[in-house]
Amino acid sequence: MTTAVIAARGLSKTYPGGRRALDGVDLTVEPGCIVGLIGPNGAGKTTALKAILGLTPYEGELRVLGHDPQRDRDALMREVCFIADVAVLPKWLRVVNALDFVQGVHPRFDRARAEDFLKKTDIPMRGRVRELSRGMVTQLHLALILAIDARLLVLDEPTLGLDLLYRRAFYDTLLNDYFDKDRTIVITTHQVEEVENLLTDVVFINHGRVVLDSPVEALAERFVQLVASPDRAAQARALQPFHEREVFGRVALTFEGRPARELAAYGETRTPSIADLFVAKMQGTSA
Amino acid sequence: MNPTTTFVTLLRREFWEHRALWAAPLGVALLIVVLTLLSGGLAGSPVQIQVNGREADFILRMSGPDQQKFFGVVVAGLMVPQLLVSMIVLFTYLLDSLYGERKDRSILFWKSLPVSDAMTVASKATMALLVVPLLVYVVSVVVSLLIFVVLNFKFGGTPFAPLVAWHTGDWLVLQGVLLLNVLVAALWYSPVVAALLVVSAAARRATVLWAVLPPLGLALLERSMLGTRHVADFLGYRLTGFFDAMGVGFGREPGADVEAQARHVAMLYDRINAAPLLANVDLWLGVAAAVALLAVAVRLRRWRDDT
Repeated sequence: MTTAVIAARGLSKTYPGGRRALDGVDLTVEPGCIVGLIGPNGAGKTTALKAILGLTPYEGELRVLGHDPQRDRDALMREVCFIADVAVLPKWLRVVNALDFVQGVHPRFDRARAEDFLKKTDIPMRGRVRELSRGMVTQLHLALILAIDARLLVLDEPTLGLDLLYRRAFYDTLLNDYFDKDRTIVITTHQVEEVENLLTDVVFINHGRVVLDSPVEALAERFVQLVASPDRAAQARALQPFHEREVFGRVALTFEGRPARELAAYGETRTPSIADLFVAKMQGTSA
Repeated sequence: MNPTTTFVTLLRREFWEHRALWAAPLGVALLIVVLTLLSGGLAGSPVQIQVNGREADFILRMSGPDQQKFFGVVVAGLMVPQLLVSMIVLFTYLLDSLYGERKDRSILFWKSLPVSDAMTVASKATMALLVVPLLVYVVSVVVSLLIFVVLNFKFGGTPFAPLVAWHTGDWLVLQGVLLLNVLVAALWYSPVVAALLVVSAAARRATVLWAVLPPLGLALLERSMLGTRHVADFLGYRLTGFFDAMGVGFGREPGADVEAQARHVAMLYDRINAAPLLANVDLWLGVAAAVALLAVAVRLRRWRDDT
């Protein structure tokens, strides 16, 4: 029996009509991680999350907190929480009734905690969701979810459509008020820059396949970006970078599995940011 | 969380979303009370009761027990406007209950909480079959008491006073019968409610059309192709069979003679008990169909993925 929070082997999903949204995904998520599931639109991120949450049928093996999401969804949902995206709180719901509802159905909901969080916002308790701004709806949803003592939190594009202030506040709250070593968070987003500093692990997904799965710490050893001077570029290319782009007349080459020392001879080396890597990997695999 | 707490929370949720579920019967009840207060002039003024424009003095010629029965049926009849309004509200409610949450994607919020699909669907069926009918019943009990008070105030000291006199035993029996009827009706109409929930869980759009057109179309098709009307009869039976069984069916009034009508009304008193319907196998076949349809609705909500 594995202790992994999520263990997927050969996870596949074909939609009626033949579109293959997931194509043999292997994925292991350990407790206490913040995993970024990153990929372009239509890469299969949301489908993967839906499978993990038992919202859609799939093929392959999948265990989430030891449960089979297809069969034990009801048990699973006592330990898992998710925010699908910001638009899903029903418009007619009053803030106070949202608290009443979650309190009435969730054994691990701490109402006082949610109320404390809401007090720090401008959200009126008697207000309805339709009267709140988009940012406030997200704050409300976050207040509800963060007051639930769940072992796994799944966030699917949680800050879509929010302005920078709300986005920053969202992730700060998540990190400071919620996350601890017993909890695990999986986030999908295509705004890589937003999350890159809070992730412990990254998983890149494209065309339904995992193209990179690595702890963030290990990225520096594994990937090097070389900004080569033009006269050295041809030599550097011989070392087989998997991605190349031109920046201000110089060439940026991204290498996998080459030590930085070896490359330093051809120009400046640095560790690529997750955003850089994402672009490199996506263009590298789709080309 | 214990299942009862969860279920009660789900029922409260329905009232939050669909305010008409409680507002409509209460509104109608209020209207009935106000109209009764306004009707027949003020207390002490000359009193007339008219039936179809004819003075209904004949009611006074009925025997005492018949008069009480007549009045009992009239009081029971006060429930009818609330029932009709509630039926319309419930029709809309049921069709929206598993469709609206998909349309606005809030189903993803509901499904992020530990509430099973079976319990969710059960909560919607329970609202339509028990909670709202019982609410209508309780409201109508209150209304009937208010009406008694108002009418006694109005008719006190007139020849009509005995008609509206209070008889505790009769009143209790009548209310008991009506309560029983509410429960029998829940069983009888359970397949209709379950079918509407299936439509609500299945339709991509235009739930009302999906609820109405297929059965109607099937009935018309049968009529034009085969010349028979089994489908129409079946649908009619399932929709009005409950009232037919009590002899208060539609289009069965005796002639235009108001005295005969009054006697008919008084006679109804002995027949408005729907308990005999419990011995009808059709009722239980319907319940079995309802269980099967509810299972379909649960399955659809569980696996349908159109967000």
